[in-house]
Amino acid sequence: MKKVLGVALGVLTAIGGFVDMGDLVANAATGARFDMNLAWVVVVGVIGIVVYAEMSGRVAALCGRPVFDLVRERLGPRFGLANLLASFFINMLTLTAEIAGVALSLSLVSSVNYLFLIPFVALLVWLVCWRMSFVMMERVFGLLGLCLIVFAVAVWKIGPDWNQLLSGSTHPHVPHSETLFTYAYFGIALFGAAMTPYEVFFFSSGAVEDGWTSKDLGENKINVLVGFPLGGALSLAIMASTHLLLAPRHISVDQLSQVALPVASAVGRLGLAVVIIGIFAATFGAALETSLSAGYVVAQYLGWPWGKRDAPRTATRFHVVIMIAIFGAAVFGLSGIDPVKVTEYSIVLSAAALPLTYFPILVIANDARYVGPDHTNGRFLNAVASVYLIILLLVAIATIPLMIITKGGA
Amino acid sequence: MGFGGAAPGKERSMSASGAGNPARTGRVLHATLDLLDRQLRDRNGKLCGNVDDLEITRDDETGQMFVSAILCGPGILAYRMGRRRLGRWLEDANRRVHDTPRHHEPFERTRIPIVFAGEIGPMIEVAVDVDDLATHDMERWTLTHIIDHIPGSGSRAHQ
Amino acid sequence: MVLSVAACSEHSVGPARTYDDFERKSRTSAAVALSSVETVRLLAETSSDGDAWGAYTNIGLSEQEDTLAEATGDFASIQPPDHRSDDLRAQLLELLDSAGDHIATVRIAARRGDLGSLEQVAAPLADDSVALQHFLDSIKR
Repeated sequence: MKKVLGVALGVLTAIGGFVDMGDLVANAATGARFDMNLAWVVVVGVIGIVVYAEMSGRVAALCGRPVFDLVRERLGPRFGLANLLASFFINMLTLTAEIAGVALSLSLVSSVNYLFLIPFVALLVWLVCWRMSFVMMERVFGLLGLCLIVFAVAVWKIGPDWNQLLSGSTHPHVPHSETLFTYAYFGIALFGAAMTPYEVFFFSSGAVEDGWTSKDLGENKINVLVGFPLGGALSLAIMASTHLLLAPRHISVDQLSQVALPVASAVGRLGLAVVIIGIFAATFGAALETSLSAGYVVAQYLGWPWGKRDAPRTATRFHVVIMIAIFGAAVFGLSGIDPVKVTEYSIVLSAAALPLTYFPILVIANDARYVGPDHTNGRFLNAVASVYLIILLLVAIATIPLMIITKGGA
Repeated sequence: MGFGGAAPGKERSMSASGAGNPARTGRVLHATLDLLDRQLRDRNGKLCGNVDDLEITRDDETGQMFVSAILCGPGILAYRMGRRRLGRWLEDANRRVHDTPRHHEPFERTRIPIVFAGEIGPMIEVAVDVDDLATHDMERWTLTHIIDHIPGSGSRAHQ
Repeated sequence: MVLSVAACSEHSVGPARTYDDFERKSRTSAAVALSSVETVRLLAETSSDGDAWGAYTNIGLSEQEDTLAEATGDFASIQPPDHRSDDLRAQLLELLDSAGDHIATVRIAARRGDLGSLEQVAAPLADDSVALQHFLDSIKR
């Protein structure tokens, strides 16, 4: 019974922790502009992250080291350095977006301008990284993130034509008012949001921090196979809510407050309160994860002690990197840069760097020296994962050109 | 505890083609694949850097090349990747940070003779204390100058 | 990297060299304005129904007011390339100004605490919305 509870908790945490600022903005903006014509991209992205998260969790459980840690020794320090630099840069953009997202959600209940709240949020994020236990951190923000289910409630309350909704999702086309280029650009943004690199870094390092062993492989599989797709379903609920309530009104989403609007309209004040709690939890949790990821990738590449599980004094440089990352992101956020724009850049650039992140995972999950001879990838899994690698490569190549052609999705 | 004198004929280069180099433990290793860039762990289980480079020595009698030491520390990876200036800068920065060691050691603190390398599993266990290695100097400095000053770091001073 | 970021910067600024160019920029500005107008209408409706609270409504309204003001300013600063463009410019600016005024009225009422009656205050925006949609339809390709 206790085991079942543990697994359930893990799944719920995975669902609630799935959505972050990037998913919120990407799905909401896409639903308002492309209706459900890009829903299939979310599905493809979720399958991708499920496949690769399972692999990185398996590697971490079987050899006690996160995947990123192994990149330098398996693929060489140059590749590792390229991976590190690209990941760190994108991580900083993401962290800025998440911190701004937290500040924005707080401003929506306090009337204080979000810019004034950024320093406070940054301090709070750091405090949690500094003191809160890893497990508690995961649980609290993961479970609170489940508040985002209110998006599904909103969709249900609107009472759409379910047949139309389904057929719109399964028969995608480029809307008349859009071009193939903007369609592809938003598709890439959605894809990048679903497969953002920091998620695997954190998942993998988190598995080591949680002390996973081969006994936890089953739980790993369930968390990933059940939790992530349900998280993806949440993303689609966000997309559907803006498709149903904002698209008919020609409203395009460029503020976080607009993301919550369908819920307020359909579910009322209570719904709005719940969704803002959910947004707060999702963005705060993501801010924690990206901060820690900043520490993980630097410390692991250079061989420094790392980890949140033990007291900060046991991993001093790791914690300093985290401090610097949070501070830097806060300063960047305070420059007044549009949070939604930063979010967009972070997910689109993530898409451009995806092959760098995911290629090592496939290599290492197939290496018996790390996972043992019995746990290397099966042929089917390898086939699927390889197909994804090709997709990731195509996406990465297309990203910058599309960004230029569409002028940032205008 | 000293490591003994420096080995003769040191070359800071890896073996040319990764041909088998019998280590003291008797296992045949492909230096490039099995040792380089691996994570090191000290005798207390603490992480203490990566194998940034290897020291190769020629046996005077047999003429065979073998790995005589693991090199690990500030600037060494930079040197290996061809960034000499960065490497030198890191070395100098570390020299400034390095406080007086607990014991006198005539050895270089970035060199771990291969004798001390133990299990070659997920990590390479080395029979030294992390505090004896240069790679930990910055960690210690950060501890005393930054971390200790922040409450809640688990530092003994604050408990 | 910097170049690509620069290339992605806003759509409605920068010179317009041809009428088609200018028309495209006016379409973008009109679309932004329509989105702001409709968002404000929805915010007003939601507020009047008691489905949102002051902080949320106020911030939402301010954001849309700023968005519209920026779009209006950007569009107004574009040099119309020919006389044919002048008419288009005058037409759209009138719509943008009208929308801006009405949104400001809603914002003022909201800040005063008249959250329950915002829908009435926002009534003129219905006409603005129709006019903007009309404008967009008339210049569709």
